[in-house]
Amino acid sequence: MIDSDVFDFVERCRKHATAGTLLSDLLDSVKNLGFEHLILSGVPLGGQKLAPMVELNGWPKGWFERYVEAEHAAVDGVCIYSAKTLKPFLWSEVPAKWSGTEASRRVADEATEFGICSGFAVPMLSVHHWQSVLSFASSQRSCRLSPRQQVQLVTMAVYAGMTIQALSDHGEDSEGPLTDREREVLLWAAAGKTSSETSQILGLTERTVKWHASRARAAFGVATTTQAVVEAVRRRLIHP
Amino acid sequence: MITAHVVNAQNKHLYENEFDEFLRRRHDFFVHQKRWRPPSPDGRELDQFDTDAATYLLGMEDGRVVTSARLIPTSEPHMVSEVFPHMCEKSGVPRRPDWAEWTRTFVVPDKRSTGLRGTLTQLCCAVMEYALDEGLSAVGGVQETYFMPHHGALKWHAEPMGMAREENGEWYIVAYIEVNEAALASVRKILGIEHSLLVRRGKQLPFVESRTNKRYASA
Repeated sequence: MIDSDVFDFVERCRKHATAGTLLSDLLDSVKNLGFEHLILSGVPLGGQKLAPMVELNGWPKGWFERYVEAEHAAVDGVCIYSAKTLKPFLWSEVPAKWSGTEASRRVADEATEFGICSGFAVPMLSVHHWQSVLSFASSQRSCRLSPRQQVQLVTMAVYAGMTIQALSDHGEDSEGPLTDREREVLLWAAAGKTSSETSQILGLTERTVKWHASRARAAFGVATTTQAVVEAVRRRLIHP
Repeated sequence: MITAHVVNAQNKHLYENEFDEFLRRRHDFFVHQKRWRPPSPDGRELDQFDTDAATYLLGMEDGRVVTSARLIPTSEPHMVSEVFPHMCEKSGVPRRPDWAEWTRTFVVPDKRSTGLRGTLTQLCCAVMEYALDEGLSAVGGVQETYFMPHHGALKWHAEPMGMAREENGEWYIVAYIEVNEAALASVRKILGIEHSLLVRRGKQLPFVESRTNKRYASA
């Protein structure tokens, strides 16, 4: 692949009006670097569901469904490490602490059935999630990238990431997933207050406090208020 | 919401305290957090590009400097021309008075949020407003690739001067954002504002020297 192919891709990014055309263009472009599949997604944290966070799904048929159904995201070393680093990395560079677990090895084994054997991931800022990752997959046992090829891949990944952000709608509700009241209720929960105590502090009925807490849980797609507090802190929506 | 004070060589004397606070926040961020620069004994961070050619936007909120930007005409020596010229292999180092290099942006820790209406976006809005006001065509420079999707979210277009690359363990790219009415409109829409964020006190200096600039035509 020559550099001008990369800049041509960057130029075409301006014209892509849908995620679909961006995805096929990117798949086509990275084929020259030995990658057949890719996914661009928010990185799920603490039990978050992967499926709603996916922005470009170029995984082989069947694998995505399997990955989601089996909740592989929670144990897959590549996915876990994607939340922990800001820097692009080869999947083979994921520290053994996360890639060496039995569950993570099983995910890697299963992936080979779908022609996914190695890869390269580019974490990026996301305005909706903790962060995003664009992960490229190869059927080669270990993907070999020259320093120049890495540079080319990262450049295309960054422009794909910018383009997908430009395509998503950050309309009127972009203030954040929580209302002021929901944030307030989570703040008091973080301070160890029960719903009843919070209701007295805020001058609300206990039922209303519980309702705001349930709205906050729903906003994050989590089961408990403790999880919602953790999520709100992680996203820097509250500062207990 | 911030207000962004335009500070340059002509009106700097009006901002002695704020400018000093800005240099201390820069030291917190670029020395202690990013570790890009060695510590300075006086706790202020300055570099060779803090000259009279620089214009600063100091983002103020509740009497504090919470964010900032430094703009330098690329026709003057600037970070890309002096330190990162090798990263412009596609288009060459830009050298245009109406292309500004944008550096030294930080957000104080308690104002960082991942939401799109936060302090960073407000600062971006102020920079775009200033750039349009001054008749600039592009603003940009060396940037961390990680943050580039933020430009996308603002629906801004950024043209790369070369490939992204790794330097001292971090990935950067040299890119310039197009300045136009649409770019200002989209960031204002996201913030839900229609008003100016800029404050200009004292004597103003045109950013671009040769004056066809309507702002100063009558002055």
